[in-house]
Amino acid sequence: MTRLSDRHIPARVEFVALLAAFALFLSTVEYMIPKPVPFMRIGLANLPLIIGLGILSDREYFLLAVLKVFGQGLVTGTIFSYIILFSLAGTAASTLVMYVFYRFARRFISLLGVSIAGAMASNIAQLQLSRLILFGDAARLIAPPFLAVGLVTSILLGLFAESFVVKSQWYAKQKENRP
Amino acid sequence: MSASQATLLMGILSLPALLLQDNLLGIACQVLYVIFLAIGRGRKFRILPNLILLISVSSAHLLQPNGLHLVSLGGFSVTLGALLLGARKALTLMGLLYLSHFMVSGRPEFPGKLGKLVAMQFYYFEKITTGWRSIQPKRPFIGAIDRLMLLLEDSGSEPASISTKGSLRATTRVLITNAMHVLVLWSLFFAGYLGLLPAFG
Amino acid sequence: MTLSMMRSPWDVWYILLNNFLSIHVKQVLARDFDKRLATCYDAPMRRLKPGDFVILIISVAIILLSMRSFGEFSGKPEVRVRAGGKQWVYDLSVDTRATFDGPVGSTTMEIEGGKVHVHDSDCRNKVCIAAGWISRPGQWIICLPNDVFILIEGSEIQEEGGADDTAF
Repeated sequence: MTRLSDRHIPARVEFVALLAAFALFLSTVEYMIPKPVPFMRIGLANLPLIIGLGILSDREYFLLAVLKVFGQGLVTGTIFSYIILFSLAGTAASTLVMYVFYRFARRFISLLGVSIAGAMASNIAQLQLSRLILFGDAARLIAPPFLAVGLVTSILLGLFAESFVVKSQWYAKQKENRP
Repeated sequence: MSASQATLLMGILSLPALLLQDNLLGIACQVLYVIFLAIGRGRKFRILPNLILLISVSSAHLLQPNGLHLVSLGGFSVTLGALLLGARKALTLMGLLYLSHFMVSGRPEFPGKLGKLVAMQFYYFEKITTGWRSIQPKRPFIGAIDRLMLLLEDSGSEPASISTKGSLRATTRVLITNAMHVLVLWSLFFAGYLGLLPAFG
Repeated sequence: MTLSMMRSPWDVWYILLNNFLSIHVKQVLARDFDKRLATCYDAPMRRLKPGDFVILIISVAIILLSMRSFGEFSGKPEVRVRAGGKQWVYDLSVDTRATFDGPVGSTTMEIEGGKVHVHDSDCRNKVCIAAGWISRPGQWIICLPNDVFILIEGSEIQEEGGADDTAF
């Protein structure tokens, strides 16, 4: 983004807000896709976090994660309920794991691996939380299907992200502009 | 204080009343109350998702038997205490959800730098949703997203249009109504806490 | 791609992914959403790296490990209490305290740290309190005057109740 902002917010931060808005948009798209099982999620909203790895600085990346959680909580109206804790735990875990894998193991893994690792981290964190506050020990029973569905959707998302960074002109432009 | 902020404050003051509630009947009354509050703000109430939540959380707790034995299902005992505990947890979650819906229904502005950023995020969110409609064709998907993002960057931002919807001032009536909501939810908590409401199991 | 063209294990991974995953994905997507959306998945196959495979295997292993816990629930020891023609069931691993009413008065049972004992009872001789703590499946405590019977049930029942086992 080359445009100067007049709200005392630097242009780069504004770019993060744009990506966060994109995540919100994707979560509304996901909301409209019919799902056979409740609790099943595709995690479309994680796409900006995956592609953001290549075009954001460290601080911007974690700011994006915070904005994603807050924005989703506000849009879905769940910000003052347990649900925000699940969203927070999942995003925090996946953001950290994806960041570490991308920064330190970029040579050995593509965005597919990053996406899978992020989804597993997120789902394991959420299962632990659901064990603590919602399901008790029975959380261990829903773990296998929950993790399996997450694995499949994260593979799809990872392949899509990998394809996106290759084909997208917008991404190429951002990559050039990256400070 | 704006009207939407008054609602937000009311919710924050009421949250512990739901979280600390130990009595099943008490939490049920509180949930019913906040559901009506949310419906009053245009939130739809659908019975099926809530029923699924109630049943799944209650049945999850059956794995930890606790209390009076009701029936056996294939060597597996259904106990009253486990059912009630599960139902209470599910109701607490439902209550928090609807209270949360009610709290943010007026799109309150959050203070600080993060609040500013969130406002900007919503500004772009609206631009993306309106922009997406004008993008044709929408397939292939990547190309469509590409054009949308490029379009957004070119259009520039108009600071004036960042929402000021929530800045309607809170009248005395709004404040009193909200105070009443807090009072109702807390008295339901104390009714449960002091044993004025019957406890099951 | 035929078998003769294969050069490295990396190609096997490519074929596996392309055949078993991508084709199914494409079919599902083509059926449910849009054919052209499915073509998004064509490009990146060649860009995958060995680490992806490692992460995938570890993830599958985690899922398989998580299935083991299905078995853990069947043989979990439970505390069954019979009093006044009714039955109560508790989880031995969850600390609780419960009071049961009988002909003499009330008997309070306590579960703590995987062990059970009678904490208090209105009966005269207090034999049930003197019985102390029990923790293994098959062990029991009875309070005869107050008609309260506490038994630990589980898959691994052991025949070592105590000396007065034979009396019943």
